[in-house]
Amino acid sequence: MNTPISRRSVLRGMAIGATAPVWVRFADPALAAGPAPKNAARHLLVVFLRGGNDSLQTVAPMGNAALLKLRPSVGLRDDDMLAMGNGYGINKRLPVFLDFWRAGQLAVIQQVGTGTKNFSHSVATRKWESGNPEERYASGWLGRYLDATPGVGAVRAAAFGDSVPLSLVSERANPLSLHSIERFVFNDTKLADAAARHAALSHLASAPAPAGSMLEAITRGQQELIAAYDPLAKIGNAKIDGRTPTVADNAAQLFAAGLGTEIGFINLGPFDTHTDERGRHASAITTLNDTVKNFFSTATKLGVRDQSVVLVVSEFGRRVYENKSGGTDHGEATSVFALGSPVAGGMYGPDLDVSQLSGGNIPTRIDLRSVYASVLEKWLRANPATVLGATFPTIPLFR
Amino acid sequence: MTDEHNALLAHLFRRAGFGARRSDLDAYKNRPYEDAVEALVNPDVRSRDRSATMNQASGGLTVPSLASAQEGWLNTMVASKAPLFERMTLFLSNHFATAYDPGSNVDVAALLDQQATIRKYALGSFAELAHAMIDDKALSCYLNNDRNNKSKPNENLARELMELFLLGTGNYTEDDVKETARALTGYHLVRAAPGARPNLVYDKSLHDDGLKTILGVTAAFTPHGVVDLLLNRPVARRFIAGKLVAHFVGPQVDPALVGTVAAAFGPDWQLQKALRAIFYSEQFRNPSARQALPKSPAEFVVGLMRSLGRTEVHEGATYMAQAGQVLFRPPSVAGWPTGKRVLGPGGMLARYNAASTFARFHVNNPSSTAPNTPELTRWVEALGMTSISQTTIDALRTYNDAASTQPASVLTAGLVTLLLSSPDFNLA
Repeated sequence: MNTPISRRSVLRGMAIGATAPVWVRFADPALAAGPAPKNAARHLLVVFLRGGNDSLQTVAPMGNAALLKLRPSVGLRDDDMLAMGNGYGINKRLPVFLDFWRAGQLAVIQQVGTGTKNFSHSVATRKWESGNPEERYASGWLGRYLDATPGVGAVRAAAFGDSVPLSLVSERANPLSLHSIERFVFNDTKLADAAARHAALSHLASAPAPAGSMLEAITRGQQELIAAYDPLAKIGNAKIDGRTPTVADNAAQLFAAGLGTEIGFINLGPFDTHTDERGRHASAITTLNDTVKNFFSTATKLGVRDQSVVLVVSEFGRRVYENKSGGTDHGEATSVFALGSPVAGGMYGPDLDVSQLSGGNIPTRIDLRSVYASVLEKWLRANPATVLGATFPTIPLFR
Repeated sequence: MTDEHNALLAHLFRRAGFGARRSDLDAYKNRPYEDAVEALVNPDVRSRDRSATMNQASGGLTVPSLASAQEGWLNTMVASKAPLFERMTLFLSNHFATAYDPGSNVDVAALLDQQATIRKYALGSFAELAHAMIDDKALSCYLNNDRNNKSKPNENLARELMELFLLGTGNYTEDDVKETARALTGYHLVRAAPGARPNLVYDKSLHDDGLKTILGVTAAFTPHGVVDLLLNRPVARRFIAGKLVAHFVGPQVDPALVGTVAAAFGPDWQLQKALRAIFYSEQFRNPSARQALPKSPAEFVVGLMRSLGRTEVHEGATYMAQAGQVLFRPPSVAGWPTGKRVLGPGGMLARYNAASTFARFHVNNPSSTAPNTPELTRWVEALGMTSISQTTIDALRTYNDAASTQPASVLTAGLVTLLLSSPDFNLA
């Protein structure tokens, strides 16, 4: 197990090649909510901002002339931000972040990265999603969490989209991928032989398959489809607060459905703002605001808010200085955000120092595996070393 | 025809096409395997041209919607008499992955122009295609090279050119990316008249004509100069050969075969020669290679439509998208997801629903050329499944017993739905 260390010392100890001071600031503890329930089910919704989210367009220092000089047309001015009261501001398109900050339920972890200088989308994405900068794993960090822990229920993890993200690729578990609960239906249920067909599909899926083979991947996909089918049909598609449920609502519904769903995964984007960043980022970040807002609204309604944490990640940050196309190129470190009542709100990791950039990029000061280790140990109550292959200092992100 | 000859032919048509139809197997039952390979790598020019013209819509007055472009492409694959040519068009469209993004001028017309270019070289010179892609509007706009300015280079295309298109990771440095971005400057969009669609134009005055050092070579590289530099690295041939081998033979890539295929390209980078080397190789012909790859969503949908003789492209494109493959819209420049990522419960549900829909289309249309009886052996042949597992046979028997009071058309639709959903059919 990892040794628990105080917030300040752990962050100093874990800094990667850091010479700059590393510190933490906290939201007003008086505003903090009570501790999370000890033994209830715990849920994690990962929101992956695809394309490389510009963390400096998300939560950034206010009134920083040196920063604005590097990004004169792209950078957020003070009137583009909602003041957090600590010298930082939140993009005004993300008001839900301010609500969580004021409640002491938003953690901003700055300068998180893999340490790599390879800024390709696919390489960086593989590093983040596998949870291993050496890309030693063909599985994802959450997939290995599922493999390492016993689960109960038909749907331990659910990813919204056309396919399963690498983060959830596992040896033994088979995460659900779905477009939405509404669309997770057989199209022949009204046929006279529907029951016989579906029973035969179950039978097809029982074909013996060598471990690790593609035949096994196919039959497992079919088995999980059959296991998840009726429970999802039961959730249905009734409107919530007068709106058709979004995937964020669906995630909360699955968490509340008693199916053993621990992990949800939503992709947003594109955040790859090489050009016209102001407009493009503003519309992309609005989808993050809506996702967080809808998820917690439905989680509250269904009684799982206090058992839920949202973790917002992206494959890399962006270059601090802008390019000639009104955008920013691929950068290195980025900020990770954790939201929810179990979260110990505050700023973690070092502040940006524009005189300490690495090739124009925010350098990696916090290994992403420290973030994952913290979530695994303190929230999901798993052994991080089993999942990550080594021990990393944890950050006290949770109450 | 021996069973082994039949099985090898079926393997070839699954990998070098979209599955084996009865007619494909019949055509070669008394001819050597090599004849089938030669026909696939040298498709009849007329059938090839016909499929190519179906997508050259952008020269006309009207530009189709994205949906009709997607359906047009699917229809071309379903109707084609040159299946390997279509597989290569799909492979290269994934290699130079470009997604619809009208806000960045990656509109339908640009995507159709790009596809026409890819079709021109699909079995031809990879080097010429790589050069053409650097001048291609859709790819350039998708990767922002239309805005790669010499005073502040945009590295997007440069990085992907090295990582995904020509060299592979680990074969260049970040400094090489920065210098290559400089070499790729000079392109911008120009409108011939106000309101006209912009064209991608290379303007020498916008190009950074200074010296660049790329992969240890210092010269005043132009865009095509840097493409030549990368293509001439020995690792480039091995990189492309490795991708072809993984795609057509299987995930356990044999380095010896990669070497053979890399050498087979020849000085002019002929894809046709590389493909011939793959399909003639012992590694491809070995029975252990069979059914080791899952069918992609496109292979699955196109294959079932070809076998059933159906042309409902709207439904086909919809299910292909739900199964994880949206034509003209890969999720990133790395292409469409594959393997386990498209075989989860959601992917298998989409495949089941596609099977059930097309089975219903089949039995409701008496003019269909495929069998119209619930006869297992005839269907196994019609779907090009040279063998099926005992579990599949047992499952179909269970279905037949449970639904035995249903009329023949219902049983036929159920049987076809289940055969198409069987693990056997979902493996290539």
